[in-house]
Amino acid sequence: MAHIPEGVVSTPILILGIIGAGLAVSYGLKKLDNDKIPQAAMLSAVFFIASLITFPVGPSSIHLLFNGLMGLMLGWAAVPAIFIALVLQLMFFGYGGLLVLGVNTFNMAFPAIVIAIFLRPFLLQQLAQNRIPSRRFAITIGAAAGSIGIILTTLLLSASLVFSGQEFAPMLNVILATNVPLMIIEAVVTAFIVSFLVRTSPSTFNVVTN
Amino acid sequence: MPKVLFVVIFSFFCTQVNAHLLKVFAYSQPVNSADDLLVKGKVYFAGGERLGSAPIDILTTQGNSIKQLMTDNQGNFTFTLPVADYTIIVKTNDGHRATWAIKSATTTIKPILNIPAQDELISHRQMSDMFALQLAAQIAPLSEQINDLQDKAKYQDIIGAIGYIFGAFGLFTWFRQRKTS
Repeated sequence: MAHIPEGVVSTPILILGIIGAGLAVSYGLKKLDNDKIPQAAMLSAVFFIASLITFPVGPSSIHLLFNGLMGLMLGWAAVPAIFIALVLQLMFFGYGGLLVLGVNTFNMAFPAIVIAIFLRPFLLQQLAQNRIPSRRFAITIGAAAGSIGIILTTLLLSASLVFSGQEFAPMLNVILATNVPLMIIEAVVTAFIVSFLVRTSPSTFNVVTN
Repeated sequence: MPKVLFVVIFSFFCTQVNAHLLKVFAYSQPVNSADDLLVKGKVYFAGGERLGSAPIDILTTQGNSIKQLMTDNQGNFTFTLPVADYTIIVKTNDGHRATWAIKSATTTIKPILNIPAQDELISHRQMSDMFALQLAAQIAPLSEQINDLQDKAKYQDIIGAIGYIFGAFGLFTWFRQRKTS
């Protein structure tokens, strides 16, 4: 689903993807704080591994993405982390392709950016008030990050395919059948991880002190 | 962070490590006195899950679609076409795509079936043709096994790739520090 292989996407989309991903990665690297580098590496590895564990659902197979979690934990720095994991997945397992790397990076990293801009400030604000946020708050924000990550990636993926001339209706059936369960699973897993981290080591989220 | 570490470590113990990649595999054998090619194959996600009712398109070397069919519930398909080179293409509706090339030259040898009745001895050429034909039939399942082996995501690869990820971030750190100092 999320990794589009070579030869599916049309040239204008490929070029747009490369430009978008290039800008996002360079800005993400600029925003990557020195203190955050080990965490970014760790989450990059998690993202890499998560794509290798797949479950068969309906006419396709799905895997967790964790781009919502990465957006919440790393902010903009999630973009280079996702990019490096995708490069390694391409080199080792042939996921996606070299030309569509830009499109794939953008499809998975853009949701992380959205979460970094709109959801992460809420969490940081709660943590900055120097108290442990309630469990309900942590679960809500985790579930929101997880589901938004999947929804936006799905929308971008569908858009890349539609603008490359794929028929809309049959694609929508497959994507709805596979990605709605994935969205629920991802929301539950992300909520669990976020609520655990917020209560046990809240400093994971705000090592940036500026 | 311990949680994240747990996820990474836990994933090593998952028995099913699949590459999320659509694949098509096929092998062919000559039928009807080697005029036709019987092709058997399967469509699956690397790691093993079969993909049932997937649309298959068979192209000639000129790129024209010559035949369309669907896989059965187990993801298998079979078809017969005149001997030639073909490309099999499978596309799912959500952006997966896989191809497989069938080369007729390596799989078909025209057997000489009209052995002259007056001479019970067969020529060296006839003999080698028959052997080649037999051999092609024998190694077909073997090539399937090799294909399966290659598809398995290997633990060495995964661990190596994680090493590369940390290495890349390490290099970046070093680059940063050199710049600031």
